[in-house]
Amino acid sequence: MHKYMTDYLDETCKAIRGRELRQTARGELADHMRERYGDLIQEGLEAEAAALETIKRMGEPELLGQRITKANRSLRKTLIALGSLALFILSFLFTILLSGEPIWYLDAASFVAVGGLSTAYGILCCGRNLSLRNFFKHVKTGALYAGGISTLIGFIAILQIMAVDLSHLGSAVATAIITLIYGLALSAAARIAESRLPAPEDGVVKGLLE
Amino acid sequence: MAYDGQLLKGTVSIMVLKLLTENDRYGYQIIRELEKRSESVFLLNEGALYPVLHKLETDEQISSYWEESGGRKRKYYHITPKGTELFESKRQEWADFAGMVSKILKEFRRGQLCTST
Repeated sequence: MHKYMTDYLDETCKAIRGRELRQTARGELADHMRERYGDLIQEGLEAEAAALETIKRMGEPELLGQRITKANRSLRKTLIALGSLALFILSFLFTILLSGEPIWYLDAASFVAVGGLSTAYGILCCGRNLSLRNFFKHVKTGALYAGGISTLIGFIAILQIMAVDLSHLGSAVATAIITLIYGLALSAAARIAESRLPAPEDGVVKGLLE
Repeated sequence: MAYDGQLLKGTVSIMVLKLLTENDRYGYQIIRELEKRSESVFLLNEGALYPVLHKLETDEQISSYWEESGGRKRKYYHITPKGTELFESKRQEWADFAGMVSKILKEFRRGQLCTST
């Protein structure tokens, strides 16, 4: 397959959510493009011109990827997922309320540490391409790193504590794990924010289409 | 002649369903058939066909299966009974709509002739 067409498929697939959908959509689009390319070659076009014409006829790759993702969303599946999440959160809160214990999973210092590290990571990675979508795209990854690093720092502190005083071991372990939860939650929130923002008009293939 | 995209919007699904009532087809075949039957008037943005096909499949109007063809796997689409029912109702709806628009345009033209004489 011509490199322009492979690049086109890469750009399109970046905008498709879900590994299985990405694989099947890629296979289907590749099959289509191969046939169109073959027909154009038979009509007498040179390889490069045929590849350019093929990708031109397919349209804007990122937009196509987003539309494919949207077309595969099922209201029923979304409602089931949301319902399961709501059930999980409600049962968690219910357990906390019934136990009568203070809500230990809220730790401001941990949240600020993870949030601060993720934000710094997001801004530094954006560099000159600072936009809201780019920012959330990098925060999505940064939050995982921040949560992981903070948890490791927490466990190092635990090992130090263990040598001296075991009475605060429980809360130290809890604090270390909380930073991981914050990292995961922030990453998920950044992913949702990124998906809601309009896609930028960039990419290898758009340059070829102009 | 280039047609207003708004006219084409909404009719792609019904045209796709029509083709699938005749035979199971894959994406490129559908595009080629639409081009051929419209005498190259309907030159769709080819990629745009796939969200339409996927939406129809999500809504269970069509189903799909993979078949080996020339050493490669190809995705074919097949219309479901639900899709056939939808197609019949949309075909009727389109016929009524097109008939009504033609009638109004014909009366408008007759109105123009009356006022000019």
